[in-house]
Amino acid sequence: MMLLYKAWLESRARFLLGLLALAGLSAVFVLFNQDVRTVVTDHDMSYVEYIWRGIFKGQLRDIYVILTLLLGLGGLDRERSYGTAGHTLALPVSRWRLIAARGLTGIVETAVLAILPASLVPALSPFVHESYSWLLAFQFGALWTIGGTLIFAIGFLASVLVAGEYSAAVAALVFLFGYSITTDLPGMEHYLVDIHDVMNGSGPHDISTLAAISVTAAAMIWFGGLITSRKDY
Amino acid sequence: MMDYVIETHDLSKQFGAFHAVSGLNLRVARNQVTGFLGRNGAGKSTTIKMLLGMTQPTSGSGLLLGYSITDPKQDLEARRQVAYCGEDKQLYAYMTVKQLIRFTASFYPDWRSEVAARLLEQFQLPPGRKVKALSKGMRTKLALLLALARRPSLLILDEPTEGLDPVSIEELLQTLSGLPADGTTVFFSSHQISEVERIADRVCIIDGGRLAVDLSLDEIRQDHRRITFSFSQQPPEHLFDMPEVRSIETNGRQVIVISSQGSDAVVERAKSADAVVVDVVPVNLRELFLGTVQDHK
Amino acid sequence: MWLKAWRESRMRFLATALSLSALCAVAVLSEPYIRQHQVPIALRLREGSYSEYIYNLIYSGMAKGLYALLVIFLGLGELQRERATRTAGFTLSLPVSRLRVVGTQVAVGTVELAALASVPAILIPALSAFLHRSYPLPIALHFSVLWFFGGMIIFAASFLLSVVTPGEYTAPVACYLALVLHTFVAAWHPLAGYRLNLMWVMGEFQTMRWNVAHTLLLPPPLSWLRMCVMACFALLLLSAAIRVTNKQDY
Repeated sequence: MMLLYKAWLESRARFLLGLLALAGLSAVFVLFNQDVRTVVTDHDMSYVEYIWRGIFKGQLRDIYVILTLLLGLGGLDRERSYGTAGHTLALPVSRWRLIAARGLTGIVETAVLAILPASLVPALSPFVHESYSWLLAFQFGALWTIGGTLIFAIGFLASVLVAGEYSAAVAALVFLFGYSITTDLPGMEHYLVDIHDVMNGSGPHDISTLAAISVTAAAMIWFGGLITSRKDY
Repeated sequence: MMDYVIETHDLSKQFGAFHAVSGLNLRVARNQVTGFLGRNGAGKSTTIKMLLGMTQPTSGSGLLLGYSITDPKQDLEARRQVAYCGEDKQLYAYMTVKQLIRFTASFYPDWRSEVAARLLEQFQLPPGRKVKALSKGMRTKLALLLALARRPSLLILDEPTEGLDPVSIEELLQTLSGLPADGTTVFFSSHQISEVERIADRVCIIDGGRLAVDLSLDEIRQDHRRITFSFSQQPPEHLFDMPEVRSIETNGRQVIVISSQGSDAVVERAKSADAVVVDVVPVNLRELFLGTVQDHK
Repeated sequence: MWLKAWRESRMRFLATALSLSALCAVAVLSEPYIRQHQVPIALRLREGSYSEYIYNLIYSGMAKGLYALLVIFLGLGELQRERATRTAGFTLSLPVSRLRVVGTQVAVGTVELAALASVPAILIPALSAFLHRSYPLPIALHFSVLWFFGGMIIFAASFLLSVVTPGEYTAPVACYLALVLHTFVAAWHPLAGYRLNLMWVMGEFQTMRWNVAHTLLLPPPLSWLRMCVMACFALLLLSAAIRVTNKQDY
């Protein structure tokens, strides 16, 4: 339990900043929808489409992707730089438990960040005489959570593989960009899933695809754990 | 039969071409205070890290409280009974003193809250202050509090007095020397030879990654002598090639020999080469250490 | 000091330079393939001219986004981070003022920014020639100038935030969110007319015009006044960061 507490203390500033930004922007998108529509698109559209273009497929999704990537960073390599790895590794817990605590905390934070816009949109819509289906919103929340878990895992693995302050963040961002471009190449749809499309519902989001994404994320975190368990500190 | 809390067999660690530890055979007896001495880069911290499972040995094996240090599961069991206070005493900067105590206590079922409370008061640590706002001395005290409040079978300390004021050093040394009576073995590395000499029952000196000396303080006092010879002419080159001779320092026609296992045989050998014995005195730890690591032999 | 600042930032700089170069190279060299196969990122560009394709993919598209995002990380890692990694004591004990320590970091960062902003200007006209295409160097340089000054503001904001926020990853998160939030503030009616959206300015959004033959997308003449204002704003942020650093206890 205390390892979860430690992981929470280490990531809470990033998480709370992200939470605040996503909550604030979700509220702005809903409550000031007439003003924001002009920023999102230049043609007329329904409220549901506007929410999709602005939040679940638009800028908020991009913010969410970057936030979850940054949530994945940290871990024992950073602790080594700060000189606290000795204290952590001397505790009577296995390195796998340390990894699991950080992974679990990150995934819960990723899920909370995903559920937040999905809750705020249908909750705030009546204030501007609009309505948005709770079911639809939570479907997007679930897609964001699963996609976000994979992106979190990319950040998590990068922070194990790449040493150096901020180098892991840069490497993870570059990888994510490269991945997005690669999935757009012709023929790649047979081999790779564009995680952004999955998250906004325009890509494949059947159970088997979502399971494959979850398994990939778990495998990446496991691989990060395997490397960590064999490293010298 | 002697019971050992630490036993290593040909333990080695290589970083690229650099041999940090080479075939180390170390044994630390239970319920004693053992000082671990060596020059900077001699392999002390690497040895401690290998014992605690932070670094994997390149070859060799070791037992910590009877548990294999190369098996992660066994090493974990060992860590439940071991307290460690690291060299740089860096602790989680984002936690308060109270949070860190609560955090560490949660991992040890036999945590002694009353000891923690007593040390908190004795060390004058402010519970609500963040660790990052503590001075180095206060951080050291906090690290010691976390190590001492858990009733460990073995306490491993890397440079424990570094950053402490003289009063705190005195208190710490008194505390450490009393721990074996409560069933805690103390294994500590230090550069302060006078501190080691004051509280250690036994001393291990590591040099170039190898164990060079493993003696009790009594053995050093009883068996080791510093003998000063004066020669009328240049002494023969291999005169002191004897198992009893630990180190030789030549200064013109004067030769200083540190001998183990008594001095009689060495004196006889020197006299056979027309040497005059100037002085035979017991060796202190500083002389033994310098004689060992400076490679005068 | 120069060497130290370079060594600290070179991994981030080289990774950014490499990924920008790769993106430009892929965009230019795969242009016929990308357009022929209806790649989603270039769906709108199938029928357009080459200059429109480059503009949408590089100067107003993914490359600009990647540049802006990675510049955030170039601005991070000053004395606050050194304190966390216990090297601030050594740095501050050197016989140099804090202003010089910080100033060198800023200077190295500025040179790196200039190099990164020049990557498309060097690669795109040069690589276009391989495909018997041409992209005018003056237009490429125009965007390099915009990217440099825009990058300076992002760099300065990230530098300031890393001075005032604790934690290794709090500053990049805060800076990224500030970058996003400013686009909303810039779109607010009372401010919309001033074109305060940095990403729009860097990409000449809604200000590009066709040439007479409708073959080349041309940017408007470079507004040096706007560049001066941007530079002044970046300097303001940097001087605030230096001021805070000078007053901080280490």
